[in-house]
Amino acid sequence: MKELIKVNNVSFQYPSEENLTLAGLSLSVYKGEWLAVVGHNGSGKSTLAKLLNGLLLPGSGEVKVEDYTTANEEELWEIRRRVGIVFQNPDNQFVGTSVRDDVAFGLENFGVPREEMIKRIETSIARVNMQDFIESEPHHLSGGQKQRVAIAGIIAQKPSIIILDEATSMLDPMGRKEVIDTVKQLNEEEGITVISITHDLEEAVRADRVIVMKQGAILTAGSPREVFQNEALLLDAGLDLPFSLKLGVALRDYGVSLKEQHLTQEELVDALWTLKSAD
Amino acid sequence: MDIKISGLTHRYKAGTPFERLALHDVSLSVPSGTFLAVIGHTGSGKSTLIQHLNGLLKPSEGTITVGDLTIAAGGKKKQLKALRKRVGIVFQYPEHQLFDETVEKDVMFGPMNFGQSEEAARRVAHEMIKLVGLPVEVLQKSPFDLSGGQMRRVAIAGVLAMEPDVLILDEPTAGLDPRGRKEIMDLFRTLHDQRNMTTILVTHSMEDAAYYADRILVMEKGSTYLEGTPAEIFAKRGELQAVGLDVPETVQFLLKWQEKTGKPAEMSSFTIEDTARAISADFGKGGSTC
Repeated sequence: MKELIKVNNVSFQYPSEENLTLAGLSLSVYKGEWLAVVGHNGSGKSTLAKLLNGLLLPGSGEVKVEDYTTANEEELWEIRRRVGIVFQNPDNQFVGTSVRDDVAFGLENFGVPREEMIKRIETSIARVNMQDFIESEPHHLSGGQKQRVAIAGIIAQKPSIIILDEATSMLDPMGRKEVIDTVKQLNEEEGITVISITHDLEEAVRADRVIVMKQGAILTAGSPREVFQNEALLLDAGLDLPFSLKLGVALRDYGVSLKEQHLTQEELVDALWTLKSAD
Repeated sequence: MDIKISGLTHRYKAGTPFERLALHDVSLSVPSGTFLAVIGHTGSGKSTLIQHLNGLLKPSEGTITVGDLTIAAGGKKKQLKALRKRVGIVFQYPEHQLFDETVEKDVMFGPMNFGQSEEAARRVAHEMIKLVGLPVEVLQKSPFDLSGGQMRRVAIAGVLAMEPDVLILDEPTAGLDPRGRKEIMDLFRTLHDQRNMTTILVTHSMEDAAYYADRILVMEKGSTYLEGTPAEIFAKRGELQAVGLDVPETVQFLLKWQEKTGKPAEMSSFTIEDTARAISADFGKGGSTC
């Protein structure tokens, strides 16, 4: 798989902090994957996101996106067009007075010609299923709708990577689903790479790959199946087990002889049914 | 402290072309000592409702009674202050409201504002900091030098320091990691039990509503949609899904299991532990003492 992002031995320290926020972190992100980044509050996840599109620059080490490096100021615009971030608070990232204006804003910044702009605005708004709201003002939209507009603003720039920085944590369950389904579609149908920083372990379970951060470093990385079977390590990282794994542990305590770990409810129900049928 | 809401209606920007009906004829009784969860999607009226409970909003129609204090449309300002003394609110992202030089001063601000002596306020600040699980050393630090999770605890200590009878929590765990979330929710439940408080939790988490609350209110379009015990509410999956909500994970799982076995599953408890026990019973060897 093609490597899109390469983070090479990066350290970062905020001027007001005594300790390094990131300490010698290395990471590769591959084209088309859905990478979940989990970890306790203050583990450096959001700092990592900001380093990936050059909003922050490393104290040492290098961040490369495709053939560009954030160390070269002239390449930052190329990087920011390729790496879009959706932030946590839907109300802090709406800059236009309507959905159309909001999506146009980013394109104007990149000097896209008018004809092309009109086309891209419409297709990207339709892509996030907000075409019925194109003239709506932000205060008429729900949190999930605002986040989808933020995503439209990003895909209008034809990015290769979307970073969700806890983009669903302020949304209600329906808003959360809208946003994840939208991004999932972009990931599957257009091959956009997704890096999702999240506290939602059920979402992380569905990723292609998971990295667990602790105190500015990567504690472990791998497929959800590999990562989530290590209960002690997750608890050590300030996390918890996803629901199905936790239930699996409890079922074993009650004498149900499940052999494997099951990541999703569907898997666990099927395994239990197989077990019961053999009873 | 009993809470009674009768015929509460709230119009934003009443009398202007922007008038909007945010609450419509809400009536609700919350007996003293209840842990009530309020659920509903964004814009369903949850926040408008709780802002009435400590006088941040005044009713357009109807009344709110907290203990022996009744707030009616057009009521007096003086009553609102008395109400705020009794009802503490932990807002979303409460750490954004920290402001003072030291944690100690920040936590002392509330009680002193309500007329406590400096000495008494300091004592209560020390007590509350310990109560929320922080070491007393943080009292002399600037709140802005703490981690996000610690700042949240300081902000909560500041509300607790006013020693409210009623505690309102507006998504108090938003943005916290899984461990922090559990610690904070366990803290609220313990406080509730130990201090005999009445607690109202606004949440998007069906799991927290199921696990921590005694009763649940479901809001939809500014009105009361459903009200009952967690077992009653979460037996109505269709009605919840119709308003963009769902049942907690444990119930989702039991329903899937029930579909396989064809046997109705018991759904009155919402812990992982009880769910495992209920399922293990189908294997003929669990649940008992073998």
